[in-house]
Amino acid sequence: MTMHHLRLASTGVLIVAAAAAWLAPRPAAGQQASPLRTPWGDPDLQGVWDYRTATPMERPQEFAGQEFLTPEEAAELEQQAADSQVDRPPRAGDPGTYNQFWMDSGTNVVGTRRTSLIVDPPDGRIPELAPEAKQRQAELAAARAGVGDDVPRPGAWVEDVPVSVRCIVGFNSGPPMYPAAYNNNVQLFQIPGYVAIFNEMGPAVRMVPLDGRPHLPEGLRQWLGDSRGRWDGDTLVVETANFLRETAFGRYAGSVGRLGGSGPNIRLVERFTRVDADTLLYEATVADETTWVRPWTYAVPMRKSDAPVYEYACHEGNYGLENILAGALREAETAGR
Amino acid sequence: MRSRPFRAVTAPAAMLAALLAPAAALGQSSDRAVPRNQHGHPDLQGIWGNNAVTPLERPESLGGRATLTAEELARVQTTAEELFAQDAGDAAFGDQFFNVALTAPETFTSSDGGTGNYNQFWLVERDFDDRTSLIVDPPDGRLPRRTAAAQRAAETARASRGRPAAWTDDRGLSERCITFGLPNLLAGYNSYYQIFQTADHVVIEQELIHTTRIIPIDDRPHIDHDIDQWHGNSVGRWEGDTLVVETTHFSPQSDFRGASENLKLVERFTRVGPDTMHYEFTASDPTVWESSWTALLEWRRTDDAIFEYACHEGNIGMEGILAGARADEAQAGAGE
Repeated sequence: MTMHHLRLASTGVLIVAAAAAWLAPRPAAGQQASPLRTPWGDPDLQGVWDYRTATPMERPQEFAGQEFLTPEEAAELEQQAADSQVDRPPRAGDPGTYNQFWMDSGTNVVGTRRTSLIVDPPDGRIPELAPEAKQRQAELAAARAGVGDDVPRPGAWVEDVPVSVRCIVGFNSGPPMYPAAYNNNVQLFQIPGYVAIFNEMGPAVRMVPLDGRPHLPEGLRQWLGDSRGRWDGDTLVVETANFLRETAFGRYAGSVGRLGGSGPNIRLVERFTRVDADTLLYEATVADETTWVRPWTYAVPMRKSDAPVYEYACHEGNYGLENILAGALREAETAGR
Repeated sequence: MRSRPFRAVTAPAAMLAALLAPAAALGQSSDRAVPRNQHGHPDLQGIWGNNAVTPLERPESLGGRATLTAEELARVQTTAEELFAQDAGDAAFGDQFFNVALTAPETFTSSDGGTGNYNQFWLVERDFDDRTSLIVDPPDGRLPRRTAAAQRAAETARASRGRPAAWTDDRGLSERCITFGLPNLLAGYNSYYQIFQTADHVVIEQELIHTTRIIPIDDRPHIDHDIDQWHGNSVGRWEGDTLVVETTHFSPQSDFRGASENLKLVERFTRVGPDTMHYEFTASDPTVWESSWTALLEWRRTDDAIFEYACHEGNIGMEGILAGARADEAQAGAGE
């Protein structure tokens, strides 16, 4: 995949711009609203939010039993993240992959200095897989034995490649969203009765009604599921169901393996809270008893950005997928002889 | 791709109103005050459908007439209903629908006679009015003449379309699930738009390939980098009760009727009634057309929902096309 990821603002610029936005009077149109409220009184979540971070999803073993980093550990982790963002030659025999130019992952840990984004279970780790998921994982591992990442199995076609590589659902845009290698930007818009969640990756957009309407009928399924929102105090709560098939999120299930990951049964609850002018706290609880033995929750403080969101260019100007499929055909041909 | 339930007959009241409304009234603002949104701007919010039957260009057989007579309109509608009943075989897309119903119903054939095409199930019922072209300028209702270079480019493109596709890039952008282009003129097929307005942005979600445009209306300039995008870069402003959106920075690969990356698009959105939006655009590209041109579409408000667009899901069209190309290659190789 190639992508545009022109994050132009430096941290310094961000702080100044955010402060200016905080101090600036609200637009004259409509009633005068209190800070961080829309003219009609809802909490104002609008703007571009940057959810890069160096904090890992799961708590590393070295921090087992430790919920927070010390300031020194946090500084060290940030230094490691920054130091890791350098070009390295590929291993021998490896054609190489993106260089650092394309990457845009975070180098700052979350402000709480948590050792993991996962806040529940308390050990900061993804829960144990359900028996069905273990079985799926084993079957998939057997079926894909000897087949490389992002490559279709012998005799298979493009559908055997992960949905993110097929430009259907971004690997980090969800739902639910989570920090990954690049394009960690989401823009929120609000009108009375609706919130629009526009993610740079994909690009993916969700128009979320807040008027209490029921979910779509169970048979009507979508890649991004079907989202319904409501206010819980000053927190926007978005519930999503009706996923179509595998979600890109399954990829994050780590040991599950991306195609055997979470499936259409996933039920998702996202919570958006404007903590202050510069911070939108994003919390996601995922439940799928056919994948994990219990629900789990992670939290990402998103930072306000004044950089624009661009059109995502997925597989533009590259021949990755073409070559993957040509290679697969060639292998099938060779095997047939 | 999914369709909406087919609605049996056009509502008689709407039909009557369309018959009575003189075409000349299109493009003028209603006397009624346009409702205001939460920010005091004209309220364009809601879901809008473009299901009009009017073709982009005026059929030459009409000898320059901008409107149909009431008899002609009734005949076109009756013919269309007979030809394109839901179970009546292959669908007619785009301008073909009107042109066939107007001139030569007996000559209608599927646009893909070899294998058959979508049937009418995939399209919604169309809205009829008496206009004979979406193009309002030039006054003849036809696209301006192409420049010599653009004519040559069109020839090349036509020749290349005649060749079998060797790879996905040889098929059009919509078939590759990238975009139906900006502006999208396709009526009657997932032709729905949901508009959101915030204090400083207008968001337009299009059902087709879930194209979403985020249009700032806060006087910011166009992006000044050397960046081009499939849908260009749009900035908006209010002119009275009309939202005016200017778009430049198209990609050389963007596809709108042969326009180049030099395309400048000015769109005007005006709510002329509770359930009616005028969507007018002017396209200028001196490297392609000898003059700019303007079209006016009438969108109607709907209570339907917008769904996720399922592009090439549950079909094996693209796979079949490419497998055919590989088989052709294998056969050619075997013949050597």
